[in-house]
Amino acid sequence: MPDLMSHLVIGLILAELFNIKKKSLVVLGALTPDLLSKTNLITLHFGMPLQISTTPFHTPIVLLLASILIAPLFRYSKIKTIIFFNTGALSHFLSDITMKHFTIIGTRLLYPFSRTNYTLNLIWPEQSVYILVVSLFIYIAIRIYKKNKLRLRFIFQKFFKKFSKS
Amino acid sequence: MKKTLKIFNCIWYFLLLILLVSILLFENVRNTYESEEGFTVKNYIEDPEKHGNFISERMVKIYNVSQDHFYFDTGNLSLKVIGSNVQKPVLGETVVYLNFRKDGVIELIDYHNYDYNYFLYGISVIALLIFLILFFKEWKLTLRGFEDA
Repeated sequence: MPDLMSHLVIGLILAELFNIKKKSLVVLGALTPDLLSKTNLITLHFGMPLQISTTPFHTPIVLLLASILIAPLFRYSKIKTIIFFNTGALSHFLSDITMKHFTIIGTRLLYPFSRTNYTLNLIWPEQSVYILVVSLFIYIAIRIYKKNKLRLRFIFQKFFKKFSKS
Repeated sequence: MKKTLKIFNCIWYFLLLILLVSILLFENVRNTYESEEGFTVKNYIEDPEKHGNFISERMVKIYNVSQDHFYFDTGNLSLKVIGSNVQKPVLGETVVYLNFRKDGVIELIDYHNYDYNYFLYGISVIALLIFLILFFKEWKLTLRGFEDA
């Protein structure tokens, strides 16, 4: 997907659904594939002679290795850091494979074992704005539900009591 | 026991780092080889007979659009593409599906405009800022790494 906002919101939805306290770790995982794989654009922009391709970071296995190396940087459970980070990363790759292309450009899900690109060819990248709108609504709905959980449960119970009496 | 565990940990992270660097190195060497021997626009311009008959997809900025052709920029090269009824995108790029023929003519097979794509790039910058706010709300940077804020 061309926009980081969709990845960010999808990451936040997952963090809310799994009740993850450190949401930023999930979001970090959701944004890192695009951030790391495009660092070569900086060297390209400034015309640096050494062009290093960082595209392997846009693959699940390489990112898993990177997350194991990143985990000790956080004074937090290493296992949790790796799991939260890769939950976000997985959401990134799953939303990326929905993108449409003319050829077999897609996501290398099995790299470095295979260079095959995978894509479901569902939507064009610029149409990801629809995913953004839908995911934003879902995120807001989850937040509202979680904030007013007790109140909503009380209203529903009252409503069902009334309904069952009538 | 604790010391042995620490040493084992160091070796484990070092091996992981070596593995990661090796993968990056392998990919870069492969890319260099492909850009020298395989298909690139530069190689095609130099020898269309050798590198032609290649179909590929690329994201480009198109300009000078006319009835039967248009141009796109590859950074330092401007290329003419034969293709009719092409429309310029609105605030975005175009993904073109091209046939690089052996006679040196680049033919358009299909195209798709990424309309309003620049708008999405703008949103991405905002997303990055939101992420940084969220991150530093939960973590603070210390000499021992990121700690609970």
